[in-house]
Amino acid sequence: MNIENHLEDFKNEIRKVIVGQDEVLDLIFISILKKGHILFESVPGTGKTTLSKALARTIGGSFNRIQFTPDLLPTDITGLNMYNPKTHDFELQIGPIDTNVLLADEINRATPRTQSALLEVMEERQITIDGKRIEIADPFIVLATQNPIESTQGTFSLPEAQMDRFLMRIDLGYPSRREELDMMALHSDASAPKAVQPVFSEALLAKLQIRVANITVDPSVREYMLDIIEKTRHHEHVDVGVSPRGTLALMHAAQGVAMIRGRDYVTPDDIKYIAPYVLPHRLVLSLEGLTLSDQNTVLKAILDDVEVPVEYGVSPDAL
Amino acid sequence: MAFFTGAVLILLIMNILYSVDLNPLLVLALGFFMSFFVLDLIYEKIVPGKLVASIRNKDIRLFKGQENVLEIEIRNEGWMPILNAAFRLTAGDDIQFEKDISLKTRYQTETIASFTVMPKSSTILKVPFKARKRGVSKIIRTDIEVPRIFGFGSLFLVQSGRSSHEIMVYPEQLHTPPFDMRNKMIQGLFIQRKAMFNDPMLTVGTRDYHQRDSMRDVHWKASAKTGELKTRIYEKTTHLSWMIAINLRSEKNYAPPANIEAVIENITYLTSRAAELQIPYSVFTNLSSFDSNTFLSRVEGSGGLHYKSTLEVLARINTLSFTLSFDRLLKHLYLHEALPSHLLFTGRTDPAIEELLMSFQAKGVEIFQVEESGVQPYNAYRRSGSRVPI
Repeated sequence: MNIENHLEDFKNEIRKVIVGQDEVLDLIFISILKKGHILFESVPGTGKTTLSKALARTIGGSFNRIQFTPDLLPTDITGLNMYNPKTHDFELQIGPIDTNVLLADEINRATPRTQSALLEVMEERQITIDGKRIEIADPFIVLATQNPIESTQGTFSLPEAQMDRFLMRIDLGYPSRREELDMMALHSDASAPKAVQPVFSEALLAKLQIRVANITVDPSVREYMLDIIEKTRHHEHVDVGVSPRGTLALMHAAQGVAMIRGRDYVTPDDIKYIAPYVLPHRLVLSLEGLTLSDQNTVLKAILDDVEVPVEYGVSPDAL
Repeated sequence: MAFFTGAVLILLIMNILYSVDLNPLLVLALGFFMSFFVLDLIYEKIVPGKLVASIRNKDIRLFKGQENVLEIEIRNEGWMPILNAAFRLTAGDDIQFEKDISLKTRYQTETIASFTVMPKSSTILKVPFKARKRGVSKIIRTDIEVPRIFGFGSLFLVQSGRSSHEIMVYPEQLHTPPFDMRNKMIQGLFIQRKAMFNDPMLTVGTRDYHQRDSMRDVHWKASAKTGELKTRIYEKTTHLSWMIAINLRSEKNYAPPANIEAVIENITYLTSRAAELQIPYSVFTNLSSFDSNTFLSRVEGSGGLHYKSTLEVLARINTLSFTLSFDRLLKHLYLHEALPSHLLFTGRTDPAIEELLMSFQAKGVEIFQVEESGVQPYNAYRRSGSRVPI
């Protein structure tokens, strides 16, 4: 079975509950291939939670959901040692973090301290409770949602360290007119909605990961990626640029793009396509940058500015 | 063109009705003109409906004195080329186009850019401009003059409807000396190392139990683990928030104060400092607003995004617009808004304003007056000669 079939299977399952969003599904597929965490960010009512739940089911394995609220504590996520009066001893109770797919719904409604409970597990797939290290199941994928328009009312911005751990930030946006008509038709059907079936087994994910890792990234393309990354670190409107973790994320995501486009090598075009989903949320803008611009605009300017590597004899204008 | 077309028609009629023999060269010339006439009609019909102009950089924000480029994409969806057309753009004079050609009209800047666009393709016009003064510059008018390819003269296309595009020019920052801001001895949420109060919701660590510590503060889990009593250390917090009230009226008339721009620039600086220090603040003006708020304002918030929206409010202050009396604004703030720890106001005072400032002061609010030279503490009681409250 080739990659196109896997992608189509995945899309068909998601389409049982979500209409359209073809490009978003491509991005999610790439992210799953790399077991990357995804942050869905869009206005209310665009299907973030529905998509996340469907996505979790396609991955199979165990699934937990945490509704982030201001009174949620870090131990509500990771777990804690509870004192048992009968045994006169502390008993370890691991929280909902011990799962394959974790849906962190409305993640920015919890305080930064609580959000930080995910830092260790998102990067190292382990948690430490009172000095005891606990391995978390593989794959471990966090699907987080947040609503950007209520950024000043009872919400807390995600810490930069946490933003950096998300492979992609995806804005679902509004569906097209055609898609919204299809959605209305889907929801006017009185019959029970079809259940989403798992598409990715652990073995399949491992196999696909090896295939993605084998996608060639030419040294000139790597240089191009580094040119972009370095520009983010020296841009006048940026306080903190893309981290080395972000560099790796960009390379891995570009390999995923090449794979679903049926190539075994990465082109600068793949990088230009995927960078707006992988890099902007890693940029910390200065106060002036924040007032004059935004993360996406800064990245677009950088992508326009960085020279694209071309084959000898080919004019960059011809691309 | 009309003359030649008329001549062709007359000759044709003569040829049909009176069988006038025409010179073949003349017939060729007539045919030539006829075909040009028809093509010109088609050109006139097709070009306007197939030409789409759109501004690519939607949200342009810049500080006074900065330069930027307006990018206009012109897309020709028809099958006729457009050669050497002229795009005329008129905008508010808060900005100034690099090649400004406005001569007669005040409060406007105008420029012309020429372009050529082939069928089924697009071109991008780059119009450089400079931010001239604080405000919001809107695109007032756009005209396109397209020379007729198959005839004489030009087609004039005029923008229908209003453009929603605007260019926002933020005020500059007028740096002033720092002012002494005493901490309030009130419980609050602002985290400050030197504060007198603890936030029992925010534990930052533990220490050994001291005899006078409250049992409520004992960290039982840490105590059980270590085998000795441990006391929680809480985050230190205080109540700190600024309320900035901008008076857009002069002492005795409706005109704005002469130094209003400098005052606004000072407030820009103060709010940028507040944003850096994460101090929550709100901004109110006595400018009438037609939305849910009576006054043009920005509710309390903190951080970079709040600063951005504050700059937008400051940019939108139109000193020529309808203002309400400042004492009415202060009364509204006193009655309907949460009391801040610090009130910063601008402009001159009169007995009505002083009375309201005294009300704020009586509630423990520290009052400061913002002028172009800086921020000064203001004691409403001493000014009015009233007894200072204990």
